[in-house]
Amino acid sequence: MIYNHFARQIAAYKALVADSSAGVLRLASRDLSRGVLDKPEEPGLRVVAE
Amino acid sequence: MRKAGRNRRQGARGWAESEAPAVAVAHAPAALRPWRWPVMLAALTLFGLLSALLGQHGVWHWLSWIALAIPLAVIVHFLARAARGSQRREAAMPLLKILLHAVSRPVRRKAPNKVFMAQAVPTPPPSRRSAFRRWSAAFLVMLLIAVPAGAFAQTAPAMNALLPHDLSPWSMFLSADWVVKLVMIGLGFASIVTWTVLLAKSIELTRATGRQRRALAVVNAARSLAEAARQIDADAAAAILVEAGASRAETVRRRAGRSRRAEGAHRLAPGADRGRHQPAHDEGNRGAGDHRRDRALRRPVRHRLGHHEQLHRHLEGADHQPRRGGARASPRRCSPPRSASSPRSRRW
Repeated sequence: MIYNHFARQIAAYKALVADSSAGVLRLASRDLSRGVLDKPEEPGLRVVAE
Repeated sequence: MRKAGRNRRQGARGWAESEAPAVAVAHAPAALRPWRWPVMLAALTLFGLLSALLGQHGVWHWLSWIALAIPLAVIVHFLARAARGSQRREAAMPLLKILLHAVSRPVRRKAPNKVFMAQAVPTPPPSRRSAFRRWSAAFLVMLLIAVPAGAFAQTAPAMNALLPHDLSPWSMFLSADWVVKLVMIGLGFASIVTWTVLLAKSIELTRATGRQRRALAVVNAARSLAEAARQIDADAAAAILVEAGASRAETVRRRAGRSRRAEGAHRLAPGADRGRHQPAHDEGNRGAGDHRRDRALRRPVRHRLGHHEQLHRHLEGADHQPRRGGARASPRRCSPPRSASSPRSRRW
């Protein structure tokens, strides 16, 4: 029972980590294609969707 | 001959399960059906234990021997069958039928045309035979438990003299045999270990999950990596991810600039999908590969992005180690082996 409980909880945690890593990837790709790393804080430069 | 009989029986059962749900529901012990045998065995075991504990005469002892031996026999039988493989499944049926004939017989399915009729009628009444069987089974269970208890009630005064007076847990433990003591100690130890693991790991996991959830919210709400890195908890796993993502983005950006200068190609590894949609814009921004102007553009930006600069320096320092610090965001996507000895990358 305890094993099952932990297995489910750890699976949920893994899903969370996977979700946030996907979010980080998305942010990174957005930053890169937007050129934010080169020119940050230029609001009118390019408006990315979302 | 035997094979043919088995085939016929299996065929009948397969048909009954696939096409006669209405009848099975109407009889309504469907939910209890898997528990029929465990309950019977439990009652039998209880009867045996009670009669062994409370019975005074030889009859009760014999009855307890029998009642306790039957579940053991069933266990051994099924273990042996499992070891042999599940091919001869029908071999179990005779033994079980001998054990308790009244409840062991499976409910006879009706013929197809009768099933059709039963479906036409909204609620077919359960047949009297099955109701009788159920009640007789319940009565049997009650009887199995009640009979030794009644015997105990008859001989209760005599039993009181035999029972030890002190029945507190500690005295019971002290007066137990050493095997029993050993088992009890082992059980207590296992219990302590189990509860410790359960509590500690639950707390740990709950906290980690909460932190990760908050970090996920931050990452989803942030509009850039720098913003996410500013808002996130330092100890969340996502913080490591964000840092790795930032360093990864830095590397990719550098490589992209280099390769673009070299061959005018367009390489933006993680954000390639977005970059592919706007190639003209990037090229225009980048000023047709003018190396010096590129660097001039990049300098002040670096100072404004202090976080990234630090990260970058850290990366540069760690460049010579075989594994770079920080988890990689996506090991599969960063395809080309980066040239750690490139002079330009080492300069800043």
